[in-house]
Amino acid sequence: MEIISLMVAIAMMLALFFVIAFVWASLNGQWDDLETPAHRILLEDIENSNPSKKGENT
Amino acid sequence: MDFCCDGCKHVYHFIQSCDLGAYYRLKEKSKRVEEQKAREFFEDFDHPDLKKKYLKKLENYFELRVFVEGIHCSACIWILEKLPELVENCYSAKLNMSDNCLRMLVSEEVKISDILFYIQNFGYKAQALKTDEKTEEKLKHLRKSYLIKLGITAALTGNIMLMTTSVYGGAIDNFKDQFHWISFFLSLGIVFYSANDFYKNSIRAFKQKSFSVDYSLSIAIVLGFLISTYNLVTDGEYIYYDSIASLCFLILASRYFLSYSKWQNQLNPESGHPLLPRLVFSKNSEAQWVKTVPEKLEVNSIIKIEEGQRLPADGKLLSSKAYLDESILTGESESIEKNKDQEVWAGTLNLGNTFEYIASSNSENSKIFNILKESKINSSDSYVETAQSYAKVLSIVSHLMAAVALVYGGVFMNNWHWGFGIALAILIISCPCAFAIATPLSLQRANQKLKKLGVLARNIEAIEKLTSVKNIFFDKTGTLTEDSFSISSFEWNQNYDEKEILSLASQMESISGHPIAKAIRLQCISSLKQAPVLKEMKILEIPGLGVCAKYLGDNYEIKRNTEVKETNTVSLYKNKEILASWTFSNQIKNQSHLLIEELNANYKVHILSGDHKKEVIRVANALKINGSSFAQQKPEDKESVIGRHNNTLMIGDGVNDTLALKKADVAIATQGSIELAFRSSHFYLKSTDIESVPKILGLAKALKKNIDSNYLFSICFNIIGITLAFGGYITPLAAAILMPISSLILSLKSFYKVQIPQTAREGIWKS
Repeated sequence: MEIISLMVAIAMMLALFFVIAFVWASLNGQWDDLETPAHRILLEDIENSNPSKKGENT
Repeated sequence: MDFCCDGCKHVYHFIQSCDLGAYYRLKEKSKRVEEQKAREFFEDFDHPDLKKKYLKKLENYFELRVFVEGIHCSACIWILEKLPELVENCYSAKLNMSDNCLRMLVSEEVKISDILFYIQNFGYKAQALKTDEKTEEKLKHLRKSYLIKLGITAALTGNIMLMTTSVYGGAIDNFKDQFHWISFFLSLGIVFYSANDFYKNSIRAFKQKSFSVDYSLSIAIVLGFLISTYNLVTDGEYIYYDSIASLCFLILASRYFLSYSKWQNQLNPESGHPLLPRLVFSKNSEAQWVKTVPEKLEVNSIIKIEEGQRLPADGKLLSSKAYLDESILTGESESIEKNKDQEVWAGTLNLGNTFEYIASSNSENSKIFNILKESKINSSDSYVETAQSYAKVLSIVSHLMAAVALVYGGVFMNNWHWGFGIALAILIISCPCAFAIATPLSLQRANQKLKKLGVLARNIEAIEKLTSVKNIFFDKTGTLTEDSFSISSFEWNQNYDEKEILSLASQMESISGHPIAKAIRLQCISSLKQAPVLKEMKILEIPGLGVCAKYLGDNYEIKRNTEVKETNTVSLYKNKEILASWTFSNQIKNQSHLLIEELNANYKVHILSGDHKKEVIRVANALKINGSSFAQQKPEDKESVIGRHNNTLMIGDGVNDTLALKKADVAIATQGSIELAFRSSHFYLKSTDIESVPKILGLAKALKKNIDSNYLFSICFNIIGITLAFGGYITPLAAAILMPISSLILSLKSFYKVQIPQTAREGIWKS
């Protein structure tokens, strides 16, 4: 049953890791704009689909 | 000729086949003129003094923010973010759709005019936003630190819950102690970090001798922590770390929601003075004309005002004559002649030639400025206030009950632990946070829905007042009717040939850029089917009055017909004899008919206009409004009309209706600059499309219904909860589980119930 103590320790480390990741992301403006990126992701397709590149891909 | 597509080609040939080819020449010409004007207008932004107001210093670059209207899809993002490839000294552009703001990294040499010009030509409306570093930075910082606090609290609470669940699940002896100790350490974070705002607020409220919901929160958290720790050390069984953590987390979450709806729409509407010109010519100490920002003008500065510019300060006229449009102060849009030494006012518009005047005030003390200062609206968060006073009563009751339970348990039963348990259970179950979450969440949801309609809310709480609206007042021009003039009737002197009159008028009006002149010319050309050329004609435009001409020895004039008082009539005179008259009216917008029909069913609809009586009655009859129509109203009259009615909603444009908008219980501004609208109104329609008005009203009703039923739910829940807890049937843990469940129910309910109701018309379309 000692394994539980170890697992609890690991769980706590994991939790700590995610908290740090969250704080880091917040400070870097991850949640500043929740709407535009959803649209922006579609745009990369437009950029890549110009004829010259299409030729290369095929 | 090259065409972009077959469609344009067909249209071109069709128009040519009707002999209307002049259309293209006119269109091309007016397009060029407008482009030129836009360029000149934007060039002001490149003035160093003005630039400073818009550029915000970052580490290596400057940030420029532009509010862009008309964004709807991903293509909009794509094209706007291509700006750095077109504009020099612009390094990156990032569009944020949630606040319609385009943020650009630029260097100091950037030409703001280029950026605005491109955005305008892409088909959007662009407004550069001034920077207000202090409030902005503070807000940004506050928002981030709040979010981080919420996130950390969530992590702590989650882990405490995890530990405690295993204890409830049957962990014993060693494990139980181990888990409790971990909980203890985690909850140190809750007590000393997450909850410190509650303590601060409690202390502040205590110093001001006022009530705060934070009292009961602080007491519950500190008391819970102390008892649990005492029990942990003495091997007791009453440990409540989970309860206090979840309490703390849920309260923080609810407050975050509440603030979030306020943080949105923060476009800093208080700064800037949209009615003043951005730059004016004034004489410097060496008697040279230099461009200056209005803020730098002083008393006795000499200022030069060009045609179409607004005055930056009150003052006295130095030139011999000037023609001004004072509609901003009087509400009547007509040209007023001013002679030398007469007083002129800031904010009025120069209709005539360039003139000079000497300032008698600076911009800040001008008349219009004082009006604007007055018309700043007082916001009241009445939904939130009611929620707070409800919470206040609730927590007083629950504190009393908790105290009674504690004393009863301790003194009479001689079991302090048992008393503590009951007291804590009562405090937790009666915690007003279910309600504290649901109200702001409902408001935020309503705000989201409004945004979808293209409505910006200055303070979303004003939506409550919409539910009690009985009288709706519409401004006429620009709200119910189109802004531009159209010819409603044309009469001519039968002694003359119609064609001759039309050619004369068309030729004369060709030199003027006034909208009325354009309308007359277009009408003439379309009935003549060609643009006439009368070579011997000499034409002169008298700005603000009309056009006069000499042709074959006769004097001709086109000017406003002052004998006809009820309508806007313009006549062509030949040596004082009337040859022809055009009557102008504003065309009623298509959607106005349906809108009024919809509103007539539930509200009294009135028209409030500065226009002539005949015109107002025409519109009122055409739209079949069921209330009264008020014509020839000055801004002050409009204000007093609104004052005489109860439960009023005013819908008008943000410029000359400012006083009326402010006076009304709820105000919706339909056009004008957003900065100005937010000074006087609660809501701002991003487009001039007024169709969304019934939807806003419907949404307000749905919101009210939802909040009312939340009260009912909460009251029942608390009465039952407190009674059971008092009887000892609910442990603090059960309370800490029940409370979030009730919060969840209310939150979900708010999320799904606050919807824009379908209008009857849409229902028909869909079914």
